[in-house]
Order: sequence, then structure tokens, then C-alpha cells
Amino acid sequence: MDKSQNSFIQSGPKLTKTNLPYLLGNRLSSSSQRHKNVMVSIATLSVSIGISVMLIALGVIYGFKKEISAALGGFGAHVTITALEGNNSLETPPITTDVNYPSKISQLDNVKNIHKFARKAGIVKNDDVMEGIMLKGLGQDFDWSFYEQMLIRGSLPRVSDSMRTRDVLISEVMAKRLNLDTASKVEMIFIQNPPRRDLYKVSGIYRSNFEEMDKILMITDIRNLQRLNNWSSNQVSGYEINGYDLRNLTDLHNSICDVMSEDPQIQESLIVSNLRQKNQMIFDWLATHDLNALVIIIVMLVVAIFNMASALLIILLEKSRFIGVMKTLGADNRLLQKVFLWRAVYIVTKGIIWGNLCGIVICLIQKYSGIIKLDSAGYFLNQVPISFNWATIILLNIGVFAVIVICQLIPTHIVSKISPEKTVRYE
Amino acid sequence: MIKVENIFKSFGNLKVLNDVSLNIARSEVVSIVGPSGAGKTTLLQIMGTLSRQDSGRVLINGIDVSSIGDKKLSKFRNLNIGFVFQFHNLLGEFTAFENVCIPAFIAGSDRRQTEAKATELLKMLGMQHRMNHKPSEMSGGEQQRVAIARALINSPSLLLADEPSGNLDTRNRDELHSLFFDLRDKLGQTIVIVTHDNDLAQRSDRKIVMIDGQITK
Repeated sequence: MDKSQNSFIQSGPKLTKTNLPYLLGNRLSSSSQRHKNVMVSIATLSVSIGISVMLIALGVIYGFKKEISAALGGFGAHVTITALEGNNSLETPPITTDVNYPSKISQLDNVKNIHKFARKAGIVKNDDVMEGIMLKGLGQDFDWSFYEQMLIRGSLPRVSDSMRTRDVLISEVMAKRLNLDTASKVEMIFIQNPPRRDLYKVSGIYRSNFEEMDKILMITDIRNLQRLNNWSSNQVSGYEINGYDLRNLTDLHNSICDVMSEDPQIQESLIVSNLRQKNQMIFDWLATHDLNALVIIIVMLVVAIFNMASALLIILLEKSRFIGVMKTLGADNRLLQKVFLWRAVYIVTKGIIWGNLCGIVICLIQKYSGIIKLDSAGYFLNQVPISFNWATIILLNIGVFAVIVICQLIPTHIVSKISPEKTVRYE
Repeated sequence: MIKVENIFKSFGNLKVLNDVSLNIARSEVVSIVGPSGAGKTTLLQIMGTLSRQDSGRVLINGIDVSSIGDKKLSKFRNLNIGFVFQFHNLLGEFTAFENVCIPAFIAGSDRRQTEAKATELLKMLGMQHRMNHKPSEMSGGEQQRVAIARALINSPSLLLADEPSGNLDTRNRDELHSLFFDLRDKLGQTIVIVTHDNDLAQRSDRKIVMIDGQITK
């Protein structure tokens, strides 16, 4: 016998009773393509669309969580230490930096960085516009990479010079509203007794997608705010501390509180607050997205299961003669079920591959082009965010595949109802 | 070899087999003849375990197949009974060689031995030039030869044929009929054939006549 022929036996794995169902199912799949089974195409499409929608939903939800959490953490911090008095207002009384708790906190394993900050509300005035802003002062101890990666023009404020500069960093949104650019002069008025006017220079412009902060925040050297508030060099509004993972926020908060509790005097005059406490509504809103994702996944899964089952039933009924003949040859119901389960595996796998391709491509298009915009007033971001969590994507694919295929055990039971005496009788 | 005892079978109110009993010896070629609706095919299917009788027994090599569960019955059928139908019932997605091998792989037979035996059977039946052809690429006579090879791959005790030459022209029909007797002579095969062909019935070792669900001769 010519071994180059007979692909059924030669080209595949060694044929045994164990892999006979796989090879039979495989052959049925490849021969069916030529007959263009519409129902099979619909089932494949249903699985593809289901997976695509699930991936896009997860991409958007993870994107929202990541972008908003990162923005909240970047513009603010995971944990903040400020004076207890006037804690609910944007401007708080100063606290001293001549204490040892900041160095103790910086040595904690779950602390990424700690830096000083100062805040002051002000009004920006130019010829046409007057706008309320928040002037935030940061120093050399701040991790400037957060703003550096968003910088689109100019440079970051010079804070490491021995001489204080009047550099300010503003957002692209603010620059457009106030008609400012790099090197532009910015006049600010601070409502206090007596009122103060100050002139600053725009050193750089950044772009973030977080319009809530973009509209009001200006960044400058912390020494400018110390001067405005008539504070000494060891007085600041507070400390901002960041951990490595927002999911460990509670542990970080508790670790810092433990350090603070070592000095009861300090503990009584200061307050430790975290991101979730300050933005509870936003975090609750983010949490509701998990339920949305679950609903989407379940609905798409149910639709895919039913479409797949319908297709499989039609395939089974179309192949009733095949089933009858196989039974006359001695195939039992279990073997025949396996043949059609492999058929289902082929359809589902094809659908999942196409679904992943389409879903990921759509997500990538949105991620890098930002085609679909959002109203930042309602969503905090100005475009639909996308983020991939590959572990979740892999688990989703495995879960969808397993659930759909297992559910096909039910329609394949129909093989036991197909009687060889009827199907092989000549008509 | 085969003992059929007091078989009754009805489809609804229609009595198809009415107390049918017969014995078939090893290496016998037996023809079952009779008018349409006499119950010939139904009897063949019951003997071949494709259908279950309402009452009575079928013993093949001393084993009462009526009392075996479905899974064991499938295995028994795979190893002990070969079928040839009026329509070849070959699987169109597979080549002649693959069709012949499938029953052996269902039995879990060794791959090399199966391939060798399939090749030998197809050669014996003059079909080696069609081994890699699909059923749609063969003539009616060739298809039936391949069907016979498939039926014989597991060396069954019993070969059952239901009007195997019904769709063939005269030449192919005669060749097929001669083939059955060759199998009896060369392999000692026991064959039961349902047929309308009188020549075949006359050539057989025994002719059983059925009318209205009963054996009359």
C-alpha cells in the first residue's frame, strides 16, 4: 500500500479506539465545509460575537478601573496625612516636617513613595477668562514620572534648583480654556487676608484623560505655596503616600496608622485618609461595572450555548444515516456522542479564535485611536478606556469553551434515539 | 450457528413476524425469499441485533443476544456480525480503505494488522485499484464489493445481506452472487441473504420462504 495516501490513517496521530472519535469528528468537520452548512456558520458566528463582546466589555471595565484608579492615585495619592483641623476643606492648616514618622513610613514594605505637598485655591485671570483653580505644590521627593509620561509640550517645573522658580505645569484642557501655551505668563489671585496676586510661567503642558482634575489643577514648586501661605520651609499641607497596588489599599492605610499610633500626640493632631474614603462614590460606581460585566458574559454565553445546541442538533439529524451505519458496524452511543462532541469542539474553537481576534483588534483600535469619546462630566474620562488583563482573558476563554462544550452533552444524547433499523432501511 | 426461536414482532397493530423459528448452520448460504411485506428484512434485522423482537430468542454461537444490554450488544455486533445492504451505506467522507478499516478500529484492533487485513480483503475482492477512492468515485458493483470487505474485516461469524444486488445491473449482480459463494468456499463464511432474485435463491444451500410474517418453506 502506498503510504502517502490514505490521509485518515497516515497523516493524523496513530489511530486507536481512543482517538477514533476525534478523527471521525475531524473528517466530518472538514467535509461539511464543502456543503456550507448555514447552521454551523451561525453557531460559529454566535460564539465569535459572544467572545468579542465579552472581551470588549472586560477591556472597557478594566480600562475604567485602571485609568480612574491611576488618575485618582496619581493626581492625589493612595493615602494622605493632613491636619485633623479643617480636614474637609481643600486648604488645611500646615503640619510640620520635623517629625520622624515619614522616614518610618518610607521603610514600610508596602510603601512605594512618600512626599510632601501643599495646596491652595486660587483664581486664574487673563484678559477674557477668570477661573477657579487648585494650585498644588510638590518638591524633589515627588515621583514626577506620573506627569512626565503625560507631558506633551515643554518641561516639568524646576523644583530641584536652589532658587525657587515660578514654573507651573498645566493640562492641555486648561491651556485651551485659558488660551495658554508654554512660556505663557499666568496671573493668579489668592483670596486671603490680604489678597495676593502672583505671576507664574507655564513651563509645560500635559494631557491626561481625566478631565475632572485637568480642569482645575496646576502644579508648581512647593516653595511657592509656602511663600504664599507665609509658611516656613518645614511646614506643608501634608504627606502623600503611594503603595504598589491599589487593591492593597486597606493594608497600606492600616500600616501607616500603626506607625502614626507610636506617637499619640501626633496621632491626635493629624488624620490619615485614603483614596477610597475620599472618592467612595467613584469606587462604588467602578464596582457596579463588575456586575455589568457578569451580566454581559452570562447573556452572551447563554445565547452561544443555545445557538451551538441548535446547530449540533441539526448536524446530528443530518448525519442520522451516518449514525445508523456506525451502529450497524458496532459503534455504541458513547463513541458516537464523542464524535459529535469533537465536531462541537471544532466549531467552538473556530468561533473562539475569530472572536478573540475581532475583540482584541477592536479594543486595540479604541486604545490607540480613541475613536469613541465620552462625556467626562458623566464618566470622568474623555474617551472609552481599554485595558487588557490577560489572566482574565485566558480564564474567560477556557471557561466559555468548557461551558459551551459541556452543555453540548445534552443534544448529543439524541444519538441514542437514532435507530439503525430505520436509518439503514433502503427507501 | 444461529438459532431463531419463536420470534414475534409487531409495529403498532401490524404483526410483522408471527412465531418465526429457524436454524442456520455454519458455512451455510441461506436465502430468505418472499413477497414484499413478508417480514424478511425485519427478520434479518432481528437476527443482526439491529432491532429487538417483542418475544422469542435469537442465539448466535450459543449466546442469547436478546438478553444483552445495548453497550455489550454493540460490541457483539461489531465482532460477530457483518452487514451488506441494498444501498451500500458506505461513509461518503471516507475512502474505500478507510471504510473497510473503521469496524476494526471500533473494535480497538491493532492498526498495522487492520491495515494489512483491509488491503488483503480489498485485493481479494478485486478492489485494490479503488482503495483511495471515495464511494462517489466508484460504480455500484464496486461500492458493494467494498461494503462486503467492510463487513468481513472483523472476521464475523455471520454475514447478513439485505437485497445486496437489488441496485445492480445483471453483470454486477451475477458477479456479486458468485462472490458470496466464493466467500463460503474460501473462508467458510455463514451468509444469510434476503433476496428477490430466484437464481440466487436456487443456488443457495437452503431457501426459506416467508409469507405474511411466517416461514412457509
